[in-house]
Amino acid sequence: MKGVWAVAVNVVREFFRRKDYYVILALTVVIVLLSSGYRFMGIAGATRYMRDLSLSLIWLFVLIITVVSAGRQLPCEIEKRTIYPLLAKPISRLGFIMGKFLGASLASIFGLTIFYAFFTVISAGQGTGWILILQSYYLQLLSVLLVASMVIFFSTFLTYGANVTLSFLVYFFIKLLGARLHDMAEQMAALPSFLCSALYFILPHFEFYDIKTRVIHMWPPVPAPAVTVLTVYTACYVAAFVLLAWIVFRRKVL
Amino acid sequence: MSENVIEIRELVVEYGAGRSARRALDGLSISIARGEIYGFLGPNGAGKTTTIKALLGLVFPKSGDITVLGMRAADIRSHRRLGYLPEVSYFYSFLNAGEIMAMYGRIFGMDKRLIAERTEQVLELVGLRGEEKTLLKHYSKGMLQKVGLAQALLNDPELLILDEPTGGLDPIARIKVREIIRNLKASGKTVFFSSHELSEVELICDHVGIVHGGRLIRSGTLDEILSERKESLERFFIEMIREARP
Ligand SMILES: Nc1ncnc2c1ncn2[C@@H]1O[C@H](COP(=O)(O)OP(=O)(O)OP(=O)(O)O)[C@@H](O)[C@H]1O
Ligand SMILES: [Mg+2]
Repeated sequence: MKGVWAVAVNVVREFFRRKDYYVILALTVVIVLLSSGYRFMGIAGATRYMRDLSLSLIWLFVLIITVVSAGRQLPCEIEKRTIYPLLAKPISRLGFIMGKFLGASLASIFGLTIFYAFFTVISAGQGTGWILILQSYYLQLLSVLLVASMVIFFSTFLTYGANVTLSFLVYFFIKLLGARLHDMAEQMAALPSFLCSALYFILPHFEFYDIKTRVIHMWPPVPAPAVTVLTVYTACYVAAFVLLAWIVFRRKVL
Repeated sequence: MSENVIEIRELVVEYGAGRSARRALDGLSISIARGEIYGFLGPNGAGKTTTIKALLGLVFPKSGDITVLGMRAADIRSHRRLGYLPEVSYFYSFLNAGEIMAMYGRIFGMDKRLIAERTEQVLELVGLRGEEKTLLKHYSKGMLQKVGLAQALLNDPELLILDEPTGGLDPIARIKVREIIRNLKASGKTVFFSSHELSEVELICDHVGIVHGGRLIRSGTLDEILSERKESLERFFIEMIREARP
């Protein structure tokens, strides 16, 4: 366990020492601040638009940070050969995978937390419930874990470039079509219908984690049992992806 | 438990699978007793690094047995008691020497105080004191090699596996490494190292093994090997390799 933590801490440290992440942080801060300018323009509906824009940007940036930082872990270790002295230490390959997953998640969650802190400050006094913002933060945090574990799994057999491409494709495919797969299946012939339903049940539903519309329109919070179920759902997928990653990586010749 | 710290029997390792499979080790057997300094010689591509990777569970045998410190090679518990210097020393370039030792120390389960103490000792030993705070990306090749040696010594291991320990070092640093290896022997440790530097092997080893085409073609104590042809190890090596040519 200590080994897992040491590997994770190292990932986070790398994240902070690579200057490109500061650029993303700075950029987002600027954009969020800019969008907060709408507040003073007094246009009807501008607040809503501002919220929509900020939340969409946060969503996108966090997704990019997660995919990039999780995706580069294994390829970099192998390419730079830092993996040899590391795996010659008393850490198992499963421990290594878990440490990389944990570290990439922590780095992304750090970004997420900063972004949400800004968002909360900007939207203070506009009537958005704290609970709703907190829920939105928490659900995105869960999605970070899910995405990071998926990307780590892909990285056990794909190159970095292929991994980033596939991860974004899978992510946006599910986000846009995930909810509709089931309905689509009902209108299809037997075989494609079966495949469509299978996808619907196998793929992790990234769209579950997005409650942006609720936050924008200040609808009531998500019921607590739903959040609990989603937490368990995430844990299952994360465990499955980490396990799959280990199965592929376990016997990998380095 | 056998007294042999390393026991390799009929090891076959292949890279790739199917028709593109490339056999790197082809029935290699080696035994190394506790307290030995074993020099592992062979031309480029002979299989030295592959053997070392197999000992560490980085590549997997197609067939054959490997025991390290009485455990199967894939058993990471053996890693607690060994130190490894890779052939090419690349470490996390965004860390400094102190941080890299701390990271590895934590994986060994060492506490803060022990890590600080050991880091100081090993960096002193390899001659990197005063450079603890320099990021590794500003290190020269030889300095990285020294970091590599330092991290291999961090856990005070009873077995050292060194892949070309003097590669990239200047003459003074080489002498220092030889001295370190001799001191390790004096304190009862076992050292298994690969090298191209025959004069070096002659200076510090008590056992020598020559690998060629993935097989061990000759092994024995240095005295045995030298008395056989009463020449330098270099001549012996060249003749052995020539005779072994298919
Ligand atoms: N990752 C790899 N994929 C495919 N073949 C490999 C790989 N690593 C090594 N080989 C092959 O295995 C054989 C043994 O290589 P190895 O690196 O063990 O040699 P070596 O004795 O360490 O050589 P050197 O003295 O140059 O370091 C070589 O024929 C090499 O081409
Ligand atoms: Mg080699």
